[in-house]
Amino acid sequence: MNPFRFAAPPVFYPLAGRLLPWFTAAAVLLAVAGLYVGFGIAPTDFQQGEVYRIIFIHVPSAWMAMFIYLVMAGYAVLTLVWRSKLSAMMCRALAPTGAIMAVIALLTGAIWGKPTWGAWWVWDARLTSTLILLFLYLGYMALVAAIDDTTRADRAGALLLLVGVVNVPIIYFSVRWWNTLHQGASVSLTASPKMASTMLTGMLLMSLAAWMYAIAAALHRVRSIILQRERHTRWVRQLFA
Amino acid sequence: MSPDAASIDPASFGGLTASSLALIRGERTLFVDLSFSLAPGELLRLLGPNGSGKSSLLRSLLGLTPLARGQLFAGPAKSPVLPRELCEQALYQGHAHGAKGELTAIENLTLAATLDGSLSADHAGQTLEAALDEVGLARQRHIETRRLSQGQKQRLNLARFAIALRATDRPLWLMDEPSAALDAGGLTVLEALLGRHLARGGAAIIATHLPIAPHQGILRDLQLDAFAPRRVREGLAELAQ
Amino acid sequence: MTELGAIAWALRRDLTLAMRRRGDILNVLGFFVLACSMFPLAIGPQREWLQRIGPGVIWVAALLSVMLALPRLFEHDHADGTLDAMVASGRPLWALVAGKLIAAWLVTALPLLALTPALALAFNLPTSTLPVLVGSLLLGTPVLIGIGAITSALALGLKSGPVLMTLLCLPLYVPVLVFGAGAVEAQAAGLSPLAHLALLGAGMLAVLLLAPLVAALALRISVE
Repeated sequence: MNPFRFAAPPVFYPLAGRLLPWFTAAAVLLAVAGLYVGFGIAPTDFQQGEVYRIIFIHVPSAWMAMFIYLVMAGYAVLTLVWRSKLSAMMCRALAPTGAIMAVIALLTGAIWGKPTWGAWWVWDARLTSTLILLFLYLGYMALVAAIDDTTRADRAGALLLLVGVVNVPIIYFSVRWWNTLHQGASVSLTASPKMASTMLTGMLLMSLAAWMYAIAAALHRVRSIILQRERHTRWVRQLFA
Repeated sequence: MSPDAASIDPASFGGLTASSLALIRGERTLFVDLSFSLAPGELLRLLGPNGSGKSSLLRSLLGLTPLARGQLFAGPAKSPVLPRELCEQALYQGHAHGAKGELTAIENLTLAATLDGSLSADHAGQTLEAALDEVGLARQRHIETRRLSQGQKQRLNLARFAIALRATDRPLWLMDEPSAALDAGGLTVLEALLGRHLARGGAAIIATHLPIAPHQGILRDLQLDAFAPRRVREGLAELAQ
Repeated sequence: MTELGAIAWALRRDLTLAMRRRGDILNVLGFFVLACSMFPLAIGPQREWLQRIGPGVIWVAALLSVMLALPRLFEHDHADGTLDAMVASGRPLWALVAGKLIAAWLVTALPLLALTPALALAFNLPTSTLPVLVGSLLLGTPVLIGIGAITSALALGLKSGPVLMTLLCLPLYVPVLVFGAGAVEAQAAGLSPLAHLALLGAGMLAVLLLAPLVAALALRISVE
């Protein structure tokens, strides 16, 4: 069975449709389990009280924001080197989810920061890096939206992603350095409380849930993108005949 | 080494064969299964209504726009030539005038001819003056290009080709609407330049509305809308009824 | 035409054009000075405050001034067809781009560097920090221009131009700003700025090598 067969939109469209309910179900189940563990089972932290529980949303979303960007960069390579249309569509499909994850990470970071450190926003290394990551997402989405020619938009966005992904470690390194120089290690949301094993389980479950959600959202979105791009072809017209 | 007009070898154009070219712009297919061949001394006129892909075809030969399908062969070679390799043998004049408004006519011509490689260090001044004289811009050579009329700007483009006649490096001329804004005198100059180029063994592909007919060389026509996708042609036929 | 010939061709061309459009240089300098002047006007002229924020303000103003000048890099050439001519010429595009970038640095960054000592005085910066300030800008501005060239090549011809450029550029500029302004701050605090400057230097080398190639690729994507 030739795996490249699935890279053709007419084949991928129904495949994505069949996979979608499974990933959605997985996301829901894992999220329920994760939230139950995080908010129900895991013990109260003696330093931070109940507020720390926001970590079960904050950390998975921050990880996913980063991970999705890496996946998009992978698709960007396929777009540029092999001119793969589906890869470009996957980039566009993933971008909004990645941006949303970054926003959730920032909001939950603020919610955590206020009662813990007294401020809605502390310029700590990871939050600032996440903010810059959000701008990278928004920049990609803005560039792709501004270019009318779809081929040019796909390839320009792909190149932007590759330039971005190379810069992400540099940005993270520079922000961490800046942060330690100016504020010292005292104020940091990365100094998380000692992890009881239940806490780790909760975070793992929520991370997997976020991952399943991201895949489901991307599959759903890419189906719309496929329909829109291929609206003049026979197979699409037959779908709605 | 000074180029003496009498001792120049005939332009070394080996011939060009295009096989089953197809081009897609955004979501529109412009043409499919387009083939042609070009031998030394031939002028190929690209004809067709607006939007039929004349400009895009010229650009695709040079790799400015990617071909969806098809191959180009230079001369008798069995392996396809990369569009970028053709660039080195071709002299391209696109839709826009390709001159900087702030520079004078002679300055623009110097830049263009230097980039083309048709200007040698010695005799450069004479060559430039002679070319401007040939196209009828002798008195405008120190005038800023933005103050020239459209027709004069087009003649400035022709001066570039006039200089290239004295060099052998670029035997394939690709011109997009070279007669635009030219008056009868300008048209005569254009046809004379083409005639001399074809007589030397060069070749040219021109996208044009007007029936440009140099006195030397073999004239061939290519109707681009004959290669439009079938449903487009059918759609046009329906409109005609 | 050799690669060096191509670089020289583009460099000479863009410098000539810049000399014909002298107003552009004044725009850049004017913005630089005005942007810096906003801060004392906003915060108050207390010397200690100005001294504290001076390096950062000058760096940010320089960064924004360079960024504002970037759209001009390719837009004019794209509009009048000379960019197409350059791509179609068969000459190494990265070399032509490199020539343009060098010209852009000479025309945009060099005047800023010349004005920096005056602004440093205006912010009451200690003279010991001046060489580090100029040095960090010297190393950092090529990186800004290199990254900016890539983003302006990607955003070529788009109507939303400058605003989009800002969004694309600024996240990528963050490391340069951190290391550049950080070097001056380190010097002011009595620490060694060498680590910051070394990182800036490494960035500059990377950009010198890669930016022309990546920008050339971005241009080819945009003229398709």
